[in-house]
Amino acid sequence: MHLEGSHQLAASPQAVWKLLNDPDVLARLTPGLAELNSQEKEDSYEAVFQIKMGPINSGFTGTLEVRDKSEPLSYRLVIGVKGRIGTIDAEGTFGLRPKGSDTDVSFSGDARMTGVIARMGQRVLSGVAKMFTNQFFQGLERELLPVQGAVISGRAGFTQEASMAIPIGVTVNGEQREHEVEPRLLLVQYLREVLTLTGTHVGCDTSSCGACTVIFNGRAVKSCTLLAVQADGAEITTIEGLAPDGELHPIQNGFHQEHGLQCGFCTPGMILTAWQLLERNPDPTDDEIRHGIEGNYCRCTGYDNIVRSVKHAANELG
Amino acid sequence: MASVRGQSVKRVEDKRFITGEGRYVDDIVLPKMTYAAIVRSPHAHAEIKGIDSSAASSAAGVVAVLTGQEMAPDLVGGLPAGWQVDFKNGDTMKEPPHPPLAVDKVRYVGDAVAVVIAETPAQAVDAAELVDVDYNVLKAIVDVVKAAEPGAPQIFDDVPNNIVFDWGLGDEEKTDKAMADAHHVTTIEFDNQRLVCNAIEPRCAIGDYDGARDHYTLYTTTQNPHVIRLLMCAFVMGLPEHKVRIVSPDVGGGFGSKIPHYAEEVIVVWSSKKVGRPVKWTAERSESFITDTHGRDHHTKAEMGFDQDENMVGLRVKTFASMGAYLSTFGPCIPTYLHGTLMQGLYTTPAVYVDVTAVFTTTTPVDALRGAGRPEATYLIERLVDQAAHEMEVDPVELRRKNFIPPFDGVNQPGYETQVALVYDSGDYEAVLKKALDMAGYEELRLEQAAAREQGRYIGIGLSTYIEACGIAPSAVVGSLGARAGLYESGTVRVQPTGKVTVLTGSHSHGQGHDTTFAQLVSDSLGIPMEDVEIVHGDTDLVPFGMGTYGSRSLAVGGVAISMSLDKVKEKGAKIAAHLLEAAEEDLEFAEGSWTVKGTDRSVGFGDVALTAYVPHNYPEGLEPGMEFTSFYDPANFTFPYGAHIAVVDVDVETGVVKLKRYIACDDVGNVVNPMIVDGQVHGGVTHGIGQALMEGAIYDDEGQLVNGSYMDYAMPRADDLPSFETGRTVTPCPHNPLGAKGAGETGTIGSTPAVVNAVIDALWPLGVRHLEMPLTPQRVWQAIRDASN
Repeated sequence: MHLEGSHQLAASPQAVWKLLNDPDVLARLTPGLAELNSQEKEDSYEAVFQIKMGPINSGFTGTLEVRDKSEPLSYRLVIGVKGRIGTIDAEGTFGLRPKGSDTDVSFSGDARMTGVIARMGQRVLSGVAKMFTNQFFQGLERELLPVQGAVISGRAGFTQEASMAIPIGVTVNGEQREHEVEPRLLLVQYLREVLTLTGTHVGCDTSSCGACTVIFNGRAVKSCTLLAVQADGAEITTIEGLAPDGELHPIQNGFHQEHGLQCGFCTPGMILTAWQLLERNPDPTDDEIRHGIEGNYCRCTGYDNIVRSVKHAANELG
Repeated sequence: MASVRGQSVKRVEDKRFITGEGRYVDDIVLPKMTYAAIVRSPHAHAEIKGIDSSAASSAAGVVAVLTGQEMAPDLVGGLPAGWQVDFKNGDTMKEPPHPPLAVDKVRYVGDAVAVVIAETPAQAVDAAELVDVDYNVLKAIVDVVKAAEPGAPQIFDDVPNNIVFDWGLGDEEKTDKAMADAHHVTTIEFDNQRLVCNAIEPRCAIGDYDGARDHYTLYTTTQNPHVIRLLMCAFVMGLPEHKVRIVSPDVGGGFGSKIPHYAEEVIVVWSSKKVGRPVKWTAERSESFITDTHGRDHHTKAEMGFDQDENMVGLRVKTFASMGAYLSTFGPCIPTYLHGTLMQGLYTTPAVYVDVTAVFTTTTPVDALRGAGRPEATYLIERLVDQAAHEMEVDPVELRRKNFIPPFDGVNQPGYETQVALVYDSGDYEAVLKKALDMAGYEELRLEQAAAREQGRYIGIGLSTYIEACGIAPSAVVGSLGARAGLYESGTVRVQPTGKVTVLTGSHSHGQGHDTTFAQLVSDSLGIPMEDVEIVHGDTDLVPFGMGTYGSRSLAVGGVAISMSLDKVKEKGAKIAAHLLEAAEEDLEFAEGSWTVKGTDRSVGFGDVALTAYVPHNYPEGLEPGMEFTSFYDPANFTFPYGAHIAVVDVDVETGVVKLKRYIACDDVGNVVNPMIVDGQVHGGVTHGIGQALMEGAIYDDEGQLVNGSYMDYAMPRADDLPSFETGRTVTPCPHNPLGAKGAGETGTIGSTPAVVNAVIDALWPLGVRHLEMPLTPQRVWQAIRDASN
């Protein structure tokens, strides 16, 4: 997974360099970094991360090293940590470039994960990475404010407790909704718990079952695999909004006519997945339908009547 | 109005599910609700040396951290087994305590150790990480055969060799002699692998204690709310039942995993009283994998003997059945009374003996999984038959036909008494096989197979002719076999003054479509439209009593209880109608919702009679007002659905990939109320069985960790793994069941697994492949082909 970002800071490269080499500042600003303890070797630290991300809340321990210093222009950060649920190996380069009296700071790197954390899926991970990178630069900016400057000399082993609410605006089923949400809140939790749209269901932690599928900017996505903050500015349709006038949508009707549901738990996700399938291919063959819905588990129907339901809808939609 | 009984009426319940208005437990939010996260053992077997919850207790939002030490004094017992199966020598089965929160020892990964209750789910999960449990880790044991060997790690101090009970059924001596004298003996030894039910809705429970009324409400994802109330009140918490209400609203699939009484149900109810607020727990999928009861996990050696004319002369079975770490609600019953009793199959085998040893292992407890015992029995019998056919070089169809029990309807011919304690109700096994063969085009398939082999392609045709047992009863019999409850069902018909009808049923729908099927029964009986009928289930304060839905019992037991109440309604209605029409009761006939004086046009409608019952101004003398009846139905016998399934597979011998080309299911489930719903049940059941044959299986490592405990790792059938199913039926009504119904929820699972495995073995027999362990993954198939060629 690739991470990158850049930010212009109102300070000299020397001042920024000082910050980037202060372990207390690094500990404070690196999202998820709970502790950073100096080790004998210079520029090498014992690092403890506490990653809170969707269903994951777990500790990781390992090392953080600063290498290839070229004062005050660049250095490379190497992180290797291990936790009960997997490993994270990350490596990235910070580059500083004077721009007038300001400094352009850029970061470019790559991260590799194993274990449960890797299974979160590319979309979530890159979303999180983007958010973490932005948070880091915003933190740097705060550190450079004169008032905040005095706080910099904190103690080593700083523990990060802060959680922040982030404002988002989302259009859901045609209605504009605005809320402040925790960065770790999943989109499906936002829909179910904040908006009380309980037609969207949670069936797994791994974006494998599709029960949480919603239409996100015209595409069927698994809402357990997105953070609510990633939905800022998005347009979302849930099962409750598929047929706003109280009539059944032809796909809903198809499921009713062809007995495409039993317990009903997978059904909203299945219907919205079928919606995307028919948007892309209005006249699918049985095989194409089976391929199109294979990301959604149903444990009741054996899928045969779901295939018929989608066909029924395709015919009705013409 | 034409009768709707027997028609594929579209489902009444669909609308709320397709519009997102279903109401599942996790959708419920109560005022002042708190959220529970459960601290679970990461070890399969360990002593608890201490629990430090100080950090968790002071974490943000935490309301309480509670442990087993605190819970134990408030309980009268542990989670119970609902069935007691004793040792051959009469000793009581080993039933060590199963505390909802472990006190001194944990016995599987996922065993609950403490509960953290907080203001938000996230705070509860965060704080649960801070609970520090000091474990002394002990050796795990996951293999069911090795666990019973001397020297294996002892899971409980007073359960020697981890053996829960040993049990036998049939005539052992006669069977040994028959096997010794047999002309040919076919033997198979295999694992019927452990499966995970994986209902797509994770379990959820909300406890709500009302201090002012000293009353408990539990919302829970269960298939049988009254059973949960019975077990929780009587065996675990010592609560009076009138102070406890269990609500089980829409439930997102069960498949057996939502039968048992679970630790979390006790935890939320007990802790709600402790904290004085509602407590909600919702399983994450990874939690479901390790705490929902698992199914199967048998190791079996089975032998079938034949005389020189290929007549079956004996069947001898030895099974080791894992119970997991504790006895679950139906745990002990499944490998015995739902497995051993099915060993006759459809055949006239004169000597049968089955021996079962039930064993504790340091794994998730084992209970029902769609079919529960009957799939395991059918798998071994039907694998043996196909294997024997190959070995003796006879057609598997002919071998079955030769040994079938002849047709009997249970009325003119008596029921068939088996060697293993059952009396089959009615059956024409040849007829269902013939229909399946016709649907499949069996002769052409064999020609196609031969032609394909010429071209180096390996098509396999697998058969399975099964029988199963549903609606286990009567209560007196199951009681004598060790059931700790009756197995009847209740049905209340409440006629409203307007002539509309509310039905209260002890059955529970979690996908089966009871709102529709039961309404069809009412509409057919009373001649009123289905829209005038409402079915109520899943609330112990509304429904008088019930044993719930499992073992395909809803229509065959629950439906009959409703039907009995409908008869009582009509009986009383006739008295009122006779009074209103000033005619004798025997001169009336009831049809299409009206009582008519025979041979006249004088009639009174059901609605007028209902109104009269509640506004009895002009009313028969001595008759009570009102129109409501409750009936309890305790069946005279089990019901015995049966059928013939045929799988056609294409095996790629280069890669080991099995492609299921066709699947034919021809079943006899007795009389059918809604064919569309029955077909849907067959589809789902067949898919479950195909899953076991080709994909599914819980894998534990030697440390007792479930290695594939997520949807990323545990394979289940997806839409593109399956063909379209071909279903057919014959109808042989059940003679002792007033509806003639037998049950349709599990036939598919029971019939399909051996049909698919038989098909793959059939494809690969010419290559020398004689045996495959399930699931038949490409790797295993490829390896077997390779081993056979060396």
